[in-house]
Amino acid sequence: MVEVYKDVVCTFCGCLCDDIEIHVEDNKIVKAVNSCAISRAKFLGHESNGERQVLIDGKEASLDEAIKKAAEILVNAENPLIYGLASTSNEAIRKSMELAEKVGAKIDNTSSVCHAPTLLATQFVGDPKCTLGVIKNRADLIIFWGCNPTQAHPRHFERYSSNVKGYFTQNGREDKKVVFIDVRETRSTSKGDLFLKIEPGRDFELMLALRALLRGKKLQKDVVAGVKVEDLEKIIDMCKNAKFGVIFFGLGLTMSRGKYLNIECAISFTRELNNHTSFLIIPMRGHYNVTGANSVMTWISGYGYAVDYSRGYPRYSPGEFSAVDALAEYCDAALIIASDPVAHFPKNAVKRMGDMPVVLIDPKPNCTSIVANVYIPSLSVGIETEGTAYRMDGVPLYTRKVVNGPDGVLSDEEILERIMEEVDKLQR
Amino acid sequence: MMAESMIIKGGIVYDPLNGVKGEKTDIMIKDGVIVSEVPSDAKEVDASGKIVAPGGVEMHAHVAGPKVNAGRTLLPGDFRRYYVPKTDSLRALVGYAVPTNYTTGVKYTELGFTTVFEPAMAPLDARHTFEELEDMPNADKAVFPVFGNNWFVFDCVKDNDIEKLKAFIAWMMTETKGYGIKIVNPCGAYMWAHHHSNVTSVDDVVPEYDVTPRQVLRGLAQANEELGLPHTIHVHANMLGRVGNVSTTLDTLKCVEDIKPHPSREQVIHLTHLQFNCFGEDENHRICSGAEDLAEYINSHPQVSADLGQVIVDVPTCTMTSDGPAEFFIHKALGPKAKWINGDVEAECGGGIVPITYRSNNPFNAIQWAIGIETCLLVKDPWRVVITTDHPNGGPAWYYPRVISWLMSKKARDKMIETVHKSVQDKTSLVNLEREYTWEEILICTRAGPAKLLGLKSKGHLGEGAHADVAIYPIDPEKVDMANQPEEIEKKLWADMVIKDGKFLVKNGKTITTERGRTYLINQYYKDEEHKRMLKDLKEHFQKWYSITFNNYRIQDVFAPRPQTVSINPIS
Repeated sequence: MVEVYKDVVCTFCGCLCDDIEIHVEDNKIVKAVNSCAISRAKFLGHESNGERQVLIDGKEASLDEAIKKAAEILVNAENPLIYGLASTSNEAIRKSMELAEKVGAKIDNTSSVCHAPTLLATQFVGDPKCTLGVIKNRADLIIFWGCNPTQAHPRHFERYSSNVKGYFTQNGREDKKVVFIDVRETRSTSKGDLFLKIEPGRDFELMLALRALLRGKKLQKDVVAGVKVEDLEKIIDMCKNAKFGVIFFGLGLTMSRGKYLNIECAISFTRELNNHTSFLIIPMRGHYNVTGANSVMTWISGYGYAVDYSRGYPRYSPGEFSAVDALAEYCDAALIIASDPVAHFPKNAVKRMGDMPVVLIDPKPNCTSIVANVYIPSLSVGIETEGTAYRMDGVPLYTRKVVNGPDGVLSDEEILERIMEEVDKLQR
Repeated sequence: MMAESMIIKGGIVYDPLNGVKGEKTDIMIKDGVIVSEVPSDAKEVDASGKIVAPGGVEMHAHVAGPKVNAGRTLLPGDFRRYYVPKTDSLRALVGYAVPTNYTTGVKYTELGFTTVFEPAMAPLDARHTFEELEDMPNADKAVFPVFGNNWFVFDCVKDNDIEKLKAFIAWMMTETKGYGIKIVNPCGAYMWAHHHSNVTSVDDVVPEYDVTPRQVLRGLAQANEELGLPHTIHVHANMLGRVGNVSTTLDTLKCVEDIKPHPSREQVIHLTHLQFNCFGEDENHRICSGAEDLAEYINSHPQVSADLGQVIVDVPTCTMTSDGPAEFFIHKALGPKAKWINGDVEAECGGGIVPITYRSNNPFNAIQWAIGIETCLLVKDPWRVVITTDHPNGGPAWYYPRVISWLMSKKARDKMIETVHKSVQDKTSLVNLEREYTWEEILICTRAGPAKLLGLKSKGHLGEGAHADVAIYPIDPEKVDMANQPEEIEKKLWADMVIKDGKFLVKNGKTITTERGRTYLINQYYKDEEHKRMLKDLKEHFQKWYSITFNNYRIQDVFAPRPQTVSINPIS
């Protein structure tokens, strides 16, 4: 018997497409309709990559033992870190915050190595934005800066941006102008009306030049950051003449030279464009619930990432309490939830992780499980368990359960709840 | 929740709804409600020399949802202004103007408030709003989804199809667990998101839909009264923050003058944060107070209620509304250093956030400060005017004791007038007002009144069967002359004891524990045939203009883990 689940939310990227149709036969996903290639691989291949066995120091162990051990590690540490969170549900993130407060931990999410500069820039100047449906209905000029939706957010064009038909854009792509700004040609850039190839690391300079042109200043150069000034003038004309423009930006802008200054400049440029027409700016968030991670942390602690609870109340210091810095400098234990820092962090941070007790909670073993003293497999959110996640524009969706997980495997939320119970016993 | 029987003895009880005006009497509680008899072993609580009042009812405070959270993001320093480390029984408290939800819940309880309504939810963001509300402990809560710029509402209003509109409202309340209809700058947020402009009067036309704010207000008011939702339409009028806007505000109220109220009440419209919509215009086109005009209208029109949106000066705070163009205007007015967030939501509404500090030495801000209290003093019927600061828009709710001191004491007002810009003396009538609010009136404006306006039968009073939500303040009204000792009011309007559903939450002025509050919500579709007819169009509407599917719109029951369903009473 094939069961069909309609309007399932895909928990891979920040697009959080919610029109996926999943066919299940004998508790196995056999077909994913409407999925992009990445989503299809996620749904159909979710059972691959190893058995979900609880491990302590590489040896098979029971869940109870692992939970107890995890609690001991956190309670005995001077400076524990809780990190990850972007690929789990808000419900689990809320529990993680509670746990961090209980054990006086640092807590950080993966945005500290992706869109944290966006958050910093927002703290400086704000952030004029909207939901993706507004873009669908209204935008007639779309600028993609430092991002490659074709490969990273494959259905962005068809669902939200350049190719979708909306209220004021009933002819779809024909009603819109699309511009790409990037350091190289990608599979996305050929799809624009205009592509500006910019020299790496010079986004800030280009943005400043655009702001100057917008204010009617004359530039003394013919070429800025590898781009002809006449092309920049063309963009300014397009912006001013648009009814409604939007800038989508990715890690090309947040993680290149200048970081938060790039974003601050981009947001300021957007603000100034509002003296002429409607113009907004939206980050292309990567992990499916990294937006939720920032959001939940903010309503519980006041800050979106890099939070420390060692004094019993939340403090914020990016560069000090952010995971890479804390791991490389002074942390003495780590709980990693739904993430793989060993695969992605700089050498010094990873090296110190090898020397400290590490607990990993993740549906799949990964590079971090190699160094983890305790590995607790969990249910995959959006496939084996439900939970809330926020799309890149902040729209909250409720993800579904379509198959049963293996016996005895709990969700991140339940595992964290159990760890907290053990922590309470130890602290009593 | 285990609740013990108790008897609150010797207090000076104020229960305006039941005509109790500062009498020494006992209040008895059993199983979480007020009763007339308790077992002989009921716990005795000594309240002698103290005011005993129903728990406060906050009808308009922005406490949860994406825009509140965006406000937190814009104010990282706010979390260094107030912080208390976790204890064995409480989690950490942080934040001041836009605190964490946990802190908000605890502070409201300590103020003696046990019900808090979030007055502006973008329906599409309902899940986020309810997640935050779940993290706000103690208070019973509800939300008002916004309707005034919704495309489907425009469609219904354009066709003058009130039956379809009623079906849509009931559907929206049910799907998003809403309680009442909020209207924010009707048509204006649409014009901002799609035409980079605003509406300037109730008769401006939305080009694509050929509807006006007047039609939207009238349509929603009529549908609301015919549907019998517990509260009237809750309106943030057009032209907020603009000099001379009191004329637009009066036009807004006049729009619905002939709409017949539901048999359960006299009102058809609630004008929210009136201060921001009560600016007059002097001969030099500068701001002056419009309080006299507005108060006169309210006094002669029983179908209108309002809340203050009182401004608190010299305290950093944050404006946050679903009024996109107003926030753009505020950020331009504050200059290039102002932070600005815009937040349009597809096919439904808009929004914006701008941090602000109202300055006492700024003539505009000083007049704003005066308008709130001035109107409150000029409106004769305390049952129709509610004390709010539109938290955090006018200022944090933690300033309610100070606002109350201004209302109860001319001495406190005069002292304040001396410290603010002198424009207050020329451009408002505040200096000439002699009225001083009584305790009874204050307790109407903060609990009995709002509870009645919100249609909450078990709140705002201490009659038999009411929820046992009791706030006890360390003031003996017979001993302290409020008018002459306003500083006492300010100090002692933080509750000494707070009981909610018969359980102690605050003792000796300190929170001892936290509980999960109820969520009031509507869970009832309109007539089957109208519901089905509406749904057919609505599904197509979703398919075309939304970026999520129809089936993923309805929020799950887990988002309101302690629901309290309120029925609607349609008139046929």
